[in-house]
Amino acid sequence: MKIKRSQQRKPLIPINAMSDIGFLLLIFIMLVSLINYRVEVKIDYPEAQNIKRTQETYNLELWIDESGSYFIDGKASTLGDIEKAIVVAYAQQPATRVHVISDRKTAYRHVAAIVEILQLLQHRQVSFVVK
Amino acid sequence: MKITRIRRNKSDALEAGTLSDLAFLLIIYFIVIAGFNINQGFMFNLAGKDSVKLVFKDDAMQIDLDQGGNLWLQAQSYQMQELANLMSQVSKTQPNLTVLLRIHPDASWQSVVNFMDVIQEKGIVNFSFVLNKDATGVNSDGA
Repeated sequence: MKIKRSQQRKPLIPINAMSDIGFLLLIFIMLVSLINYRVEVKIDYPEAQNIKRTQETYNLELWIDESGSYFIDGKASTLGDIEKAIVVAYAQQPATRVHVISDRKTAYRHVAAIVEILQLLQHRQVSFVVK
Repeated sequence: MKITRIRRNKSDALEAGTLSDLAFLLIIYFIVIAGFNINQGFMFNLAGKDSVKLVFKDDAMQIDLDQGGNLWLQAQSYQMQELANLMSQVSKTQPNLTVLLRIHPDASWQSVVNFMDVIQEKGIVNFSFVLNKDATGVNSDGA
């Protein structure tokens, strides 16, 4: 009896499916990066060597530009607005971390004004952001 | 005349491969971009408003930071590195060393950050910074 040899198929890697997965991942990461999107104020960051990560799950960023103007989420704000924003953020989420992001040339008095508000509100922990 | 039809190669795997390469490069790009949003810097525990902490006179080191970013200790000007070495030496003999930095209101934020950087480097736990009230008439206690 003649035994038929079964024809071996050539191995095929489904690359098309891989690109589909790639694109799905791409869309996912794009959406995630949109969630993390933040409005940056144009500042020149101060620099330091011994820094550590200060990012938390809930963050409130207070920006101070070179001239001493204050910004929250890219909007120009007064010290009164900052006080309200801290109170609201803290009421909504007590674990909110306040980040002071100031230009390297900003006069210290502008940073001190925010520090004073934080002390007044008994918000003890503060992050001074540097690069 | 017989027109011969050009047969396409069945596997377009190569084209799909380049497409997936492009997708992965874009993924890496977005991951890197997402990493830019992470804040780094110094964490400080602020003292309460008008809170007072008693420190032995021998343990206290009061340093003044002037408008030009110069550091002064007992009416003598110091370079940052000199002061860092001094603080390092003193902290060995006096573990409870408390450094108080009085900052001129017009001092640049970078000069303050430079000092904070040294404090972090030397591992000095008791550090306090205040706005120099003598220069403005305003008192603002920091950490």
